[in-house]
Amino acid sequence: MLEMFAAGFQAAFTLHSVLMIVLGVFIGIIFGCIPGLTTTMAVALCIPLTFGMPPTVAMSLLMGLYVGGTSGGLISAILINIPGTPASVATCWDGHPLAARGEAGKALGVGVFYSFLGTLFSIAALVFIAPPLADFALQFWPSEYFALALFSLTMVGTLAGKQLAKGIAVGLLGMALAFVGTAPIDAIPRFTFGFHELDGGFDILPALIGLFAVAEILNVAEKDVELKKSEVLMSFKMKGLGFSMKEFVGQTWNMIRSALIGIGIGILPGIGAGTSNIVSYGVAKSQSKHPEKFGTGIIDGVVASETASCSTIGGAIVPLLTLGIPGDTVTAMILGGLMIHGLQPGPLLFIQNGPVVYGIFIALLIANFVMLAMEFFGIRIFARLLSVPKYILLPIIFALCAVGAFGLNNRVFDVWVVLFFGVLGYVLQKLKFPTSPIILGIILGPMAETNFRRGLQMTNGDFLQFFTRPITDVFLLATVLMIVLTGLSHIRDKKKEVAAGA
Amino acid sequence: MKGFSKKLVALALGAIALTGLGAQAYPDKAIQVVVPAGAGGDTDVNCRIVGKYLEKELGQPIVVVNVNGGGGTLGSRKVKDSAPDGYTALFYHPSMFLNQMMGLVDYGFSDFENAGIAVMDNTNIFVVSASSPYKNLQDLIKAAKANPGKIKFATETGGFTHLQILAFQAETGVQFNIVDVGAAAQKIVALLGRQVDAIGISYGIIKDYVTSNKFRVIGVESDARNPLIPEVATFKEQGVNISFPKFFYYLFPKGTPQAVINKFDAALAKVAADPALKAELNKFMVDPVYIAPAEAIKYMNAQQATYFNYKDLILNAKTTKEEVKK
Amino acid sequence: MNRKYWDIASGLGVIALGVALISASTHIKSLDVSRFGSGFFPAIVAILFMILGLVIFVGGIKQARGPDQKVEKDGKPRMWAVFATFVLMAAYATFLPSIGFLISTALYLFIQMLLLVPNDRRNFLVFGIISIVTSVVVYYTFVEVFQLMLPAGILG
Repeated sequence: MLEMFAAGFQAAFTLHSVLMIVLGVFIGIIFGCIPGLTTTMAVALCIPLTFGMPPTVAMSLLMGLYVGGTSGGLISAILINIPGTPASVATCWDGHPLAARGEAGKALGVGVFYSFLGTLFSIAALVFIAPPLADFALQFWPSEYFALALFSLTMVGTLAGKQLAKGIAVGLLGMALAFVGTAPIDAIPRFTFGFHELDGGFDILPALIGLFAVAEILNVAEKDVELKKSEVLMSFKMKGLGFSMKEFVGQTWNMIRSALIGIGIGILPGIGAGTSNIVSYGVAKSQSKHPEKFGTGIIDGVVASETASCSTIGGAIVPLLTLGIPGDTVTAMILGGLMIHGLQPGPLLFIQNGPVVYGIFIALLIANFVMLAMEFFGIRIFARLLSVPKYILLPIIFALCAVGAFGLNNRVFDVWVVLFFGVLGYVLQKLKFPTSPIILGIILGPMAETNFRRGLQMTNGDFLQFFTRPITDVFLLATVLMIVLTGLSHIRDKKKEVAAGA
Repeated sequence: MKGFSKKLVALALGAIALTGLGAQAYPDKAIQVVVPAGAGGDTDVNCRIVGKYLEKELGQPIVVVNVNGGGGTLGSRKVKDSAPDGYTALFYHPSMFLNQMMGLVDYGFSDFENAGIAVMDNTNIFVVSASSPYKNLQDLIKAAKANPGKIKFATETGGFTHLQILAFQAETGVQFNIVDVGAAAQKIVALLGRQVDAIGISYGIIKDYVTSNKFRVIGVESDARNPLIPEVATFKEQGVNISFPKFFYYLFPKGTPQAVINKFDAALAKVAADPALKAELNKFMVDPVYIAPAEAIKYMNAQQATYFNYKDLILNAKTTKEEVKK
Repeated sequence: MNRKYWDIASGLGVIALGVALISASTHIKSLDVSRFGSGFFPAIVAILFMILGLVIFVGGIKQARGPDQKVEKDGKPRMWAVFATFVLMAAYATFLPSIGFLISTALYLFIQMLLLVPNDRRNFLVFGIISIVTSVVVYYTFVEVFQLMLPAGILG
């Protein structure tokens, strides 16, 4: 293995290659921190630019994009409460309150550093235990995916906090909206009412942009602009990394658990950082000694979210390189990139193109450090962004969101979808419904339904056979546990309320 | 409102193009080629590779645009409704017949201008795990006859391979348990994880699994053996009379001026003869061809007829399964 | 309507959603005739909606019996601005394909900034410049560098 590393190092550490890594991280961070533009889009747009390059250099660029993009979302999540990419949704929930209290430095420092750690963790997993991880991923049949989806859906309960009924209703709304389009298995149109534009259903990206960015614009339109808030946001001081050694030690278990969740979700084809950051946040909250503090601005939330989303990077690359099967949407793009460069990911890739594979590992590592440096030194610059008044910043963000939505499938319809979800988010907020569970519903609803029905197909309609599979049982049990725990803590909270209020 | 403005613009551009001004200068900007499938799949990769060479020949960028969803209908519909100025094209394969058969769309390839067939994929194979007891198609058929509805065959509902399986069942009188798993990548995962017993897929994506002895190919659905994989017997040789070539074609919206299409075609013909393109595509076991529009239309009509023979099959797929269960 | 009655309305709304969902589900012509066809999950969601709607409704009634809720006012809510923003965005989406990205976006940015800015900070010139520059920079970056075809409209 050592010679492979040496070969990979030689391939990846050329000037051309390193330059591409730096460029990739830079572009990635920009795409990542602008809501509406995603990592997947960045990779898709940059692949044609790699046509003339040798494969290792092309991969260096793409790896830089992947790392920069996945981590970059935290910047806008923390500073303007709009996630830059689906991978940083949960970072808003504690990151922004921290910033609003004048602790933006801490939030950003934590976010960046734990992004770095998460990526590092997953690179180690990728390099050393990729084959066993891939084999483990192959054990996930539809019944496992179904059980996992169910378990992740229970996060809705954790996220909803006090407003359990409303939260669950919103999560269901997400699922209901995800029904629109072509049904899984039999491919007939559902709830499209004859509108062919709806045949593809609602993509998570316009939904996200609408719920966060547009709703925010509508909010700002409604209230007089809060100038004082910006000043607080800008006046943060940063000492060193922004957080103390004591805090670091306190987050150890959170970090490890979040990294494992991220890697676990990454290796499963079809789910990526968009899911892992939310699930990790939910698990962290439910396992925490002070769950009620989540959402008020504690670093636990940011740690859970960013560690998980970035450790999904290495995780998603595992099936890509070992099986030739992408672990998430970004790696699906990278797969196309690999194939265009004449590389066939799969069982023979390590044997036939060892140096390229190890070059990818080294590129990831270098990109990780570049990301850390760029983001840390860039924190001052990011803060500058805030001196731009919201009434100028937000419209520009919307224009970029329009580009992002349009760029998805090259049609204006997706811009209308953004608008729809924006109004929906705004109305839900006004009616005092939590909006975050919708995302879980949209992502996990289809996963649950599709795999439930596929599982039934495989067993010829026998549902009980689901229970014969151990991994399924584990997740189903965990689901039941979560439901019970959430229910109990809800009842407890209600009792406290009655006791205090009466 | 939207549609009306589009039509106005389309008329205006069409008029300009018709005066020949447009055709002479064509192409003077980037051409969008819509691929009604996700990035990284075989349609996408084929299109991008051919696109690289077309770019050089036409002197303008070829921008591949993925419009996934609706089983390919979103993409074809988008091109159908685009301005017929030669700057939007569709790159697709026989699944369009399927979309039409299943009633997902109310149009067919004849509602477009045909710009020729560019890539021929004669690598549609049935694959089993290397450790499976089925050495060839007859083994599979025997096992299926002995265990109706038990042998699990993976597919993507309504897709190309789904039809192949149904046709296979009709020809041989067997009944598989057809399980939906999703697109090509998921089929590979399903077979690797032993979730299913067999899959129908393109050779190019799984060749490494064959070389590393994880998968076994038991038949190829073409008229003659594919010279790139000569050791694989055809279905016809093994007694199953079906053959489904997967051919990739370019279509332009109806009304695109003939002069524009001719120019595109001339470039395509040149590109198809390029040995470098052949070498690149051969790596994925597919072949560049050039079938001119007139020929292509005849060929595609014939193929469409074959597909439509199976229309009732695919529409009744589920009910048949229910009856067997009872 | 006093704020404290809103939950009653929300609860009823959620129940209505459940009913609508179930009735729409019956229209799904299914190829999958088994019990767990494409109408199964929607039906489950619909039932849950109705149950939860009821819970919210009941909670709403409890709230309505309680004291009136004080609405914290930070400034007067400018609902006209919210509505105008929505109309502006809808107009943007409508005209994007026909007028093209460059013009639509520049117009959108200009008007949106005016809608959001507090009255004393209006600056037509600055807004105008920012609108045009942003629109041009974004258009050329994506169309020329990245080759993402944005609608060209009447300019292209």
